[in-house]
Amino acid sequence: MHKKICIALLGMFAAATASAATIEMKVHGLVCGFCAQGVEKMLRKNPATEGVLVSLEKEIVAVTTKPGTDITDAELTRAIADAGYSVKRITRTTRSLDEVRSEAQRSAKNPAKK
Amino acid sequence: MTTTRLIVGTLLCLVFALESQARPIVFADSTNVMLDYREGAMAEAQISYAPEHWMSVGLGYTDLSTDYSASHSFTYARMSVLVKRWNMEGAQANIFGWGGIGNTYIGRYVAEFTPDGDFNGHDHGGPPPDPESGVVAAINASAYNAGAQFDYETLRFYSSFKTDYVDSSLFWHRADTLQIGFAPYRHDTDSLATWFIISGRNYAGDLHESQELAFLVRLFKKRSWVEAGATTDGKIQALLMFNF
Repeated sequence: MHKKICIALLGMFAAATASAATIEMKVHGLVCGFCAQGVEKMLRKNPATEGVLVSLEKEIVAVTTKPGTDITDAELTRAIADAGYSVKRITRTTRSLDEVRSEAQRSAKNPAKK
Repeated sequence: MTTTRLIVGTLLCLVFALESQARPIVFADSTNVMLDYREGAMAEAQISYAPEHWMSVGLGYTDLSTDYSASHSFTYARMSVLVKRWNMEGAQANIFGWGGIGNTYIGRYVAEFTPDGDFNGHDHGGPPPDPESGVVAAINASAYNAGAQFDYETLRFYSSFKTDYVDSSLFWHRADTLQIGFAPYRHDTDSLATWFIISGRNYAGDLHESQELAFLVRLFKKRSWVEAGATTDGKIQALLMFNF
């Protein structure tokens, strides 16, 4: 009985951790502020979207989801394609959106360290 | 990009003629307002809505009368299509096509008598000048237009070529524009983008037969775009664009 409860708690913890993760996408074709707006607007149509970051400098689009929700890779790829751009890679990280933003800004200031 | 979209875009390019703006479609589910002024050549106001990233519909008004005693204008409804986009690492290239229908207008004016009794400035096939006063009544005619644009850009380099054409029984007008731009720094989503643009343009048709070279500064941030400069003969050019 205790074993089942532990497994259930672990499962819930894992699910919560997964939903809190940041989804980072490498996207090609992002060359202007209007591109960024289009991508953000499309991603925010998904009710699970909590935050969006678009870095033109690093060609990264990062999304955080609301607690207990997730967005599948297929949904993300379709949203980016509907905005007119191409997803090259999707990774799920434990970094916060602020951490992704900070790294992108550091990269913009020091392009040689990209 | 579906085959249907490719066919529609190609047909638009072939069947209609051209008109221009910074980019015919900005992003999906967006409304775009644009004001464009080119001293001695044209002034234009346009509003468009893009339900998808690959198409937009809009309304516009172009005043082509700057150098003429009579008002010359073109009012239109237009559809623009993204025919093909190439998304590359750090770069993007596009082919757009657009076409529309509308109305050309020449306002009331006074034609000048020539020594042989004919009238200067009356060759559009409309009502004849009053034999005594030379007054020519205003006239309208249905018109069509079409256009195409190819562009390639990165965060530091911009290039585009576009051609616009308007035709009616009153007049025809075409403008071909080549632009090359350089950004002094790489901008990001929330920062101000600055571009230095060299713009060469050829005007052809019943209204303008000339070429111009202009140097422009283009600034944009978030939803706003401002562009201003002058031609080599000192004529002012300015463009304002806002997206929401």
